[in-house]
Parts: sequence; structure tokens; C-alpha cells
Amino acid sequence: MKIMIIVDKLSLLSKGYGNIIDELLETGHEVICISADSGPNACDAGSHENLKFYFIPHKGRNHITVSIKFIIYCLMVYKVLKPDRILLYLNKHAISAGLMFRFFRETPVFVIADSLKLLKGKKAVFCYFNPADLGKFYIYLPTDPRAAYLTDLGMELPESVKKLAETSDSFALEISSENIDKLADVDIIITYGTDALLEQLQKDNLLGTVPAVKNGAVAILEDGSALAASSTPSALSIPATIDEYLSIIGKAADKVK
Amino acid sequence: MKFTKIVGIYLVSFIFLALCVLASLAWGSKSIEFSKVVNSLLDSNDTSFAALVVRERIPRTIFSIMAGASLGISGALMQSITRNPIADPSILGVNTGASLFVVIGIAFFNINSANQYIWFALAGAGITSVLVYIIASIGNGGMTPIKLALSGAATSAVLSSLVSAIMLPRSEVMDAYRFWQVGSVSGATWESIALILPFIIIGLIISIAATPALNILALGDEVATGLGVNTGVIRLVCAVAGVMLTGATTAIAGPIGFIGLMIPHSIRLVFGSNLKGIVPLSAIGGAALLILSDVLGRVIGSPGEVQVGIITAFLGAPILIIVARKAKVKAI
Repeated sequence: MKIMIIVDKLSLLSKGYGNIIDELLETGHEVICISADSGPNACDAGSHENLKFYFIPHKGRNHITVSIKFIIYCLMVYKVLKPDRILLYLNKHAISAGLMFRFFRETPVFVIADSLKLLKGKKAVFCYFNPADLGKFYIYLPTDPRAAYLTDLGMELPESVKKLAETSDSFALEISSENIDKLADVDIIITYGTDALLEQLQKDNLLGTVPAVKNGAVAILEDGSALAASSTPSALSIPATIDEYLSIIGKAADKVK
Repeated sequence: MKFTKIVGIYLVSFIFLALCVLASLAWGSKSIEFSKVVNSLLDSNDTSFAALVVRERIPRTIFSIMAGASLGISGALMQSITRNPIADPSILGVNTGASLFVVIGIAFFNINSANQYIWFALAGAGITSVLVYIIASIGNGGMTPIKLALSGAATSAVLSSLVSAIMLPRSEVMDAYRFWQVGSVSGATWESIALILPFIIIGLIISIAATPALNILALGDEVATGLGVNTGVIRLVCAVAGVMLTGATTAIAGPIGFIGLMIPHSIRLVFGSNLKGIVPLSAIGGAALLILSDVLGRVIGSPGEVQVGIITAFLGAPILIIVARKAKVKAI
């Protein structure tokens, strides 16, 4: 089977997880690999008769140019080599190319599970903040699909929240900002709001002390947007929004220190 | 009342208020040792989280004093000018007017911070009370207390249905609005306090200055006119003061009920019906009650908080019943 892998950097594939390219080659597949690296030595996959690399020039360009190039290169390679499957490593540029292939629908696109490793084991909470009153906020508990979805995606509920959740059989917990220090083990915060929310949180004397807020590891789902629906997963919403949802959380996860 | 007795009353009430303030700084959703509280207030170099928490309680407490005093005074004013024992600051439609404008702001102008709420709430409170006043003045006999109360109640009913009409189809508006609508002082910041301070100060000055005239008004409109008081003007001025006080408070805290109703009545029950005493004592009493309610809400709600609007309603209802059974409401 011809498999096309789209990834921002080849090094993402070979780090830690075991090399997906080697595995595919060993099982007799033909692999086409598209990335924005400078050459094949960026990857320890080595050479193989069934392995082709395509590198996208990216030096000195801004992100948007690289993303557009990604889309064009992927389209050309796709049209010429006609792969049977597309594997997508969720990241800034690859995601835009991957989104394009969804429009063709002829070739199934798969997200490489390994790309979720950025999220794996990260302590994440889904919160609700009311920007007009930051004296308290709400944390959704695992009985709520928003929080449960995060654990499905490989993230974990922080110990602190688990402890607080023991006393509650509700779907959400109201926490006073005075007790925000109990949430020091939170890596990522996911919440609804506008772009201005992160700045408001960082400016708040109490909320601003949490590492997740300090680092900017806050994933904000725009109020009232279609994306806000992705937080409550359903059979229709998952395929429609998972890429965008993951990319927003991924961006936040990137800032975890 | 004798001078020494008056001084004694004020002394005791100020000490009580001071104790309430201390309680508000010391107790909260997070329990902090008392020595630590004192230390974080005295030592500005202390940057521990506990110290931050205590310092964050300061603007909240100051706002509670302002809000409680404003609500207490405007309750006393509204009861006097409408000659209606169950009048409270919301009788001129102030709260529903403010609510309507805040909902319009959230739904159509995308406002979401307390500082933006303030202007919408103040505009709503002001415009609505003018409207209520105009409606009450139409028709035979000019503006009478009973017409004012009726026009306020009717306008409130209309506006609250508009609030529902705007809010119900928009879930994100409902989310933001329902938090504001319960009434909570936890959103107070130095910035928002500075914004409403001028309104509160002007409102306070007007209401203190108007008390002699209001005392005469209590004798009845005919007697007051005979004694040289322009009843229309004094009502208007006091209404403006009441709207400013309530509007400014509501803008930050949302509508907090019952304080404006029960505090002036309780004060009247204990200290008689002289407004020279009722107005300032209602301010102190309102502030103390709001602070105590807030402390109670924070402590019983830990690790979260119970909004102060819920606590005042909870405390207010039984007190109101006691007052209603005992009060000489004719004294208004």
C-alpha cells in the first residue's frame, strides 16, 4: 500500500515513539514522506527502495507561506503518486495540508496517534471563566463530556482536581480564586472565551499565579463558534472538528514548561 | 435623643463595622491563619500566595462597604419619597433597567468585562428611572407616591420580559448574564471601584443634604408644601441620588436584593423615624450586613463561594417578616 506521511519535521516522527516509517517499510508498505526539513539526514530512517522524501523549502519564510507551500507540494505529490492512505502528524503546517485532503474524500486521512504525545500525560482541566468576575471560576468534572473528552485524547485529570471532585457529584466544581493555589499541578487550561481572556487571566493577581496561566498554556475556544461544540464530542462533531480542537490544545501544550 | 446617646450609637456601629471589615479580611474561601493575615497587611514585601489572597480581599471589602451603604441609603430614600414601606432601590425600575442594558450590551455589543458593564448598567438605570418618573407624572394630580410605585412595577415587568426575550435564544448571553444577575461582590477591582466612586460620593452628599426636607415630607405633602418644601423637586433630587447609588452598585455587583428593604426598616424599628438618623445608620448597617453576608457566603461555599445575593435573600426574608410583624410602618 502507498502511504503518504505529512509532517512538519521528520524529527517529530522518530523521537521516542519508535520510527513509524521503519515500521511501515518492514510491513511491506511504500512510504512517501513530506516535510519541511532541509535534507534526509534530519531523520534517522535511512534510505530504502520503497521510501521517498519530499522536502519543502522553508528558510526565512513566515508560517503562512510555509503552510501554503505545504498545501501545494502535498497536492502535487498526491496527484502524481496517488497514495492509498494519508497519515497526518498534527502540527502547524501539516494540519493545513491535512485539512485540504478532507475535501477530496477519495483517500482516507489518518491522524498519527503519536502526534498526540504532546498532549499525552499532560494535566488538563476544562474551565469556565466569567471575565466580568474573576473572583471564582468553574471546573468541569469527568462526569461532564468536556472533561471526559480530554482524558480520551490522552490527557489526565490533575490529582488536585480529582481530590476536589471526590466531594461532589455535580458535573462541575465552583472554585474561588483564593483557592487557585490548589491547582498548581495543572499544565493546560481549556476554556471558552475571547482572545482577550488570556491577558485578563494573566493580569489577575490570583489567577495569574497558576503556572498554566503564567506560561500561557490556555486553550481558548472562541465563544459561540463551531469549535466550541467540539468540546462536547459526538459522532458528527469529532470528525468535523478534532483537527482544529487538537491544534488549539496542542498550541497551549507547546507552552507548558 | 440626647447627644451622648447619639454619639454612643454611632460609636458602637462604627466599631461593629470595623469588626465586620476585619472579618472580611481574615475569613474567606481559603482559610488563612490570623497572624498571617495581619502580617500580609503590614508587610508589603510579603509575596506569598496567602498574602496575595488577603490583599485581594481589600478591594472586595471596600466595595462591599460602598455597595452596602449605597443600597441601605437608597432604600431609605426610596421608601421616603414613595411613602411606600415596601419600596426598595429597585422600585423605580433601576435594577431591571440596568439588567436590560447589560443584556443588550452582552448580546449586541460583545461586552464582557466589569468595566464595560458599568456604563451600560448606569445608562440603563438612569434612563429607566427617568421613564418611570415621566409615566408617573402623566395624568391627573401629577406625580403621587402611589403612581410612582405602580409605574415602577409596570415598567419593571415590561423590561424584564424584554430581558428574557433577548437572552433566551442566546445561550452564551445567558451564561454571562446569569452570573451577573445573582449579585456578587467578588468581581470588584480597584479599577472598577474608582469608576463608580464619583457617583457614590455625589449620591451620598445629596442624600445627607436632603434629609431635613425628607423629614418634613414625611408629614404629608400638604403640610410639607405649607412649610415651604417643594415636594416635586425634593422627590426628583432624592430619586436621582437613589438611582446613582443603586446604579453604580448594580453595575459592578449585579442586583443585590433585600438590603435596601430590610436595613432602613430595622434601623427605624430601633432608632425611631428621624431620617437624620436613619440615612447614616442605614449606610453603616447596609455596609455591615453586606460584608457579613459576603463573609458567610465565602466560608460556607469553600472551596467555591456562595454569591452574596443569595445570602442576603436568605437572611433578608426572615428579617423582613419580623419587621413586617412588628414595624410601625405608618411611621414612614
